[in-house]
Amino acid sequence: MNISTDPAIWTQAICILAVYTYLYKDNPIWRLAETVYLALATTYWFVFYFFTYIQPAIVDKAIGEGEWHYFLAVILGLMIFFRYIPSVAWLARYPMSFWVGYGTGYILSFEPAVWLTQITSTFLALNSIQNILIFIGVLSTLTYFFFTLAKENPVVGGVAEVGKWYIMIALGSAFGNTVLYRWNLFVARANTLLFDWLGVGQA
Amino acid sequence: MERLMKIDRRIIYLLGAAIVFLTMLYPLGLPVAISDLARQTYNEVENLPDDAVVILSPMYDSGAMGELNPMFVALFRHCAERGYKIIIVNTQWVQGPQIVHKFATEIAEEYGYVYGEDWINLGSKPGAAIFLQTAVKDFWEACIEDFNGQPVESYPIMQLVPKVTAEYVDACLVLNCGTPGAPEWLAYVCQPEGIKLVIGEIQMSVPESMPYVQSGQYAGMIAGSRGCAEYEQLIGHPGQALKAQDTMSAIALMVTLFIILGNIGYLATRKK
Repeated sequence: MNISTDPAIWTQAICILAVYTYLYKDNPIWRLAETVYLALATTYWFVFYFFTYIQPAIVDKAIGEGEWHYFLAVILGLMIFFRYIPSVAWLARYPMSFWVGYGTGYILSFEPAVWLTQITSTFLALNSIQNILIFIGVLSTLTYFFFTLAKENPVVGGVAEVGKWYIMIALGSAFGNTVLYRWNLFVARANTLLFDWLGVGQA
Repeated sequence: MERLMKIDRRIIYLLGAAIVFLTMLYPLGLPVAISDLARQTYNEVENLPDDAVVILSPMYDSGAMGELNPMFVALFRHCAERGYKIIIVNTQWVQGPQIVHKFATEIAEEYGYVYGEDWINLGSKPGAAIFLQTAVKDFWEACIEDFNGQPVESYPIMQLVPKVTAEYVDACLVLNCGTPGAPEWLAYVCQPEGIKLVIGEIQMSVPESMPYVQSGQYAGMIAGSRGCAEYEQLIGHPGQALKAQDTMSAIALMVTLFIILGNIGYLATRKK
């Protein structure tokens, strides 16, 4: 064993252990770790946003280079705070409306191409078991979500039932992968504790 | 039988932790078979032109680094071995380029890669889709400065890529763990511009991304820790992911056993 003398590694190790104490039960050490993390993250993001959004747009562009149209965005952004003044709270809807409208238009100009490719990729030659399974899966799953069709109809109900099984298998697969992913996160932390901090297996 | 339904979660955690530590200290060396998907992904990267320029985008933060750091290392090493020019950049995931900088520097030194000529870290850029779309039109304007705060156009490697289009970029390698991520690279850069997109995906989102692989929109995918272990074998550099596979196999077995026990308990109590 060759225990690390690096303060950064010690900080990591102590934080990891403090956070994992929650697995036993809620306790002051966990709450301290949580509070420190929240404070750090909040400060970090504030500084990040200041230097990546506010400084380049306002300090450098608007004030430094005289590109005053940047202030229009600032005014629009600040209008969101009108929601705290009841008499003019309705003004806060304008920046939100702008953002929703802009975002929707932006997405609709790019993303349908991706979705359409997904749809066309289900137009498969039924010459392999995999393709047949995909074909049946797409049709039956879509049938399951046709809520306007009566499921009492044996054909519709039967196909929808197959669709339900496909959905269950997909959810099972997603759940299984999620469980393994969470454990994988722990493996990475265990790696830090065992090898980086305690130096197990090192001369 | 009711006891099976009420196993204290702390017993499961303790047992899991014991399995993790023991298998890490005493690896079993179980073989890891290489899947067709890993081979396909490897070939997509391997078969790029010798003078290829790739964008390697670590779209993640500390929460996903356990799984995605080994993928970054494997992809960076593979690209360096092939002699590709490597541009590291992401959007919104501010920690990503900071996390990977150390690995990139170490591997770059190993391969004699010169910063600014053979590889560059442009850091994290705000804007998500807007950044990506700007990068297609004017990569320098979208990035402005690199990780060290120097103007991007001052570096020789950036002279090769004024825009992120198929003319200048051969592939985007995106390590994905959420939004914005690979779907945004696909929608705003790779599909409109016809650039090859290879992704590294966290285990949890593999089922979600498989349809994109099946449709050919993702040319390849490193599927979670297991996929990375396969990739490490293909490039001939076993790393963290391969080491973790014994542990992951043991954990998968433990979880399966607990699911079976829980269901036996459930079925037995339901009959009553």
